[in-house]
Amino acid sequence: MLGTAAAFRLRWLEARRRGGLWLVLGTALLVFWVAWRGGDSVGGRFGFAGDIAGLFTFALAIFFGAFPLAVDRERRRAYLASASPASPLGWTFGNVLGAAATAALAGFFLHGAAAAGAAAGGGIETFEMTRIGSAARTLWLPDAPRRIRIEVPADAHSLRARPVVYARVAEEGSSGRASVFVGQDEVEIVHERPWTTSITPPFVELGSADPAFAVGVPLASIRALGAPRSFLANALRAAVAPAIVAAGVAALAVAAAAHLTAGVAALTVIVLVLLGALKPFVLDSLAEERGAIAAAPGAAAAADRAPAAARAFVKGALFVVPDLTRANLRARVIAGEWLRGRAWRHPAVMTGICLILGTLLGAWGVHRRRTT
Amino acid sequence: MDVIAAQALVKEFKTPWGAAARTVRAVAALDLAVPKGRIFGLLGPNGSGKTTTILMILGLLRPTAGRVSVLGVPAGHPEARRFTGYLPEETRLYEFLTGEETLDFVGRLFGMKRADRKRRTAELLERTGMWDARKRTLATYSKGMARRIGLAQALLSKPQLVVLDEPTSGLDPVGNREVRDLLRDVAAGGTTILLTSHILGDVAEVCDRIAILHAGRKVLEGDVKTLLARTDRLAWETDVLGDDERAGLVAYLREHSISFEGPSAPRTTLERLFFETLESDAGHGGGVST
Repeated sequence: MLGTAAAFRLRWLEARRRGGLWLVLGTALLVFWVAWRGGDSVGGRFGFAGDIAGLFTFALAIFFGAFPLAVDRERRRAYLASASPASPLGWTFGNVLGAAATAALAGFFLHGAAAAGAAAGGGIETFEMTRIGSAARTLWLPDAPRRIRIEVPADAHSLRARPVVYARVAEEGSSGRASVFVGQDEVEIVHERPWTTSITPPFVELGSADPAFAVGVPLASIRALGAPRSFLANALRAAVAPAIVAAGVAALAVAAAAHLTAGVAALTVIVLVLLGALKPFVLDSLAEERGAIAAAPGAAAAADRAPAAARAFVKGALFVVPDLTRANLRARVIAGEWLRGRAWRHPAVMTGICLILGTLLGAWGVHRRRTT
Repeated sequence: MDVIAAQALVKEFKTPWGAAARTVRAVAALDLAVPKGRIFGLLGPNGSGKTTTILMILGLLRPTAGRVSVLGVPAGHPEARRFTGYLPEETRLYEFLTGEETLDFVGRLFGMKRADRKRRTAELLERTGMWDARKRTLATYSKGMARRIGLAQALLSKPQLVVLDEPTSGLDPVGNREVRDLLRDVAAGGTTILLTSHILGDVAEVCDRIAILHAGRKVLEGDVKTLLARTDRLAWETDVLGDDERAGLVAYLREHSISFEGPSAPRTTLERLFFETLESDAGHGGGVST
């Protein structure tokens, strides 16, 4: 399509020359420092730094996506493309690709910096949420002396890596003795450290011995402290998915900018992101809804899942969630449960849809504004 | 076939809100025919409809009524855009690109092949005197330099029609003369040029044909030579005459009842003085004194 290559190269050069990449680098250093110097407490290190990375990733994706087209119009240089034979579709697609590439790069570096900083600080907290019961893959619990094989589906990639199993202690107050279950299978715990008995609250009820709970809850979680040997894998795993999602957000921002001014476009995308991904999901408040969703197995209960998800959405709307990454992650996990079996819930697929949608909507805006 | 053919072209702008809503007619029933290979000047005071007309010719503004075709296809058609170069009244370019990158970017927009882009870019950078500044970003350019790059981008794709809104705006006399020479060369190669300018001397010197717009209407159109020629007067220029020769000549004119003005010493143009001064200074390597 005529105009795609020109637009892509233009946006890439724009990001470089106007300091966009320096901005990413500077922010990445900040994130690295936070992860490196952050505390060792539960939820510290990668958790907090990852949240900052997530916040800036979204901000930069909106920045890279929403501003170029709108600024072109405001500075009245849009004629260069408008008066040329470049098609609105080609021109917009190039803009979408350029914004998506820079946003993806930002997402990758920021999350990679978080993981790298945490590794430099002595360990990486990695989390992964997933459904239990599909294809298995091997996870490393890096500070364990040997590998532990845990049944986690291969499609469990999300915004950032979270190896997840379900865990519960055998007895309440049992001095650190814990059992970790994946589905109904118990996994041997090599290290009995405090953190193994206080695994992420929504997924564990300490002292609960009800096997139905373990079976019924679709999500399982485990937190692992990563050793340096898994640093690169963890960094990559942490960075790739946010980069993909950032590209999708940037594409939507381009579409908004094609119709609106830069400021309104940015605001629109922020609202879209908040509404579409963050609102329903306030961390611990969702246990009830998650339980309701999970407790409705099989096709017959599908009707019950929708109201539960809707309740979650409404409840989430009452809160402003600062933890963009985690909330977004949970958004998709719950959406994934609700939409179980539908391939398009995968972040890469959703981002692909965003790219196509961003291009089509953006091209419509460019065409509409080309001739007034 | 005319390169630009406009028939009964009308453009009205409506202010949309409330009781103050009104319609402004920017262009009223304009007929325009620009033949191939000519330099056509569109003149008129501010607000006369020149830029509106240009935007309709480029397909960037939809006429309220009437038709306009470019190179035989409706204005705004991709085929028309492919063969049209455009320089707006103000040079609005990407200031973070270098001059060379700007031309390369425009070449990509026009789908030019890499080798063609490189060749044409080098050619036009030389021709517009921007070769030495080609690696600098546009943010560091003066207004005149940006104008030259703007002109180069309009000519890059070897268009059959070039539309230039105030092409010499912001240029110094040297640049002004270079641009006029460039436009003549381009037109000699068969390219049609439509330009607007408030510098009437430039128009008179470079255009073959002009139309004057006023309040959206065309009030005059014709060939420049024809329009500027005065058939009721005759001008002579001679060597300096002595007193007796001058008195004899005056007596002769009076005797035959021929009205005349003068005699007076002809004045050179300021432009000619400017260039002669610069050339003299270059020759002596010194300053200029008065």
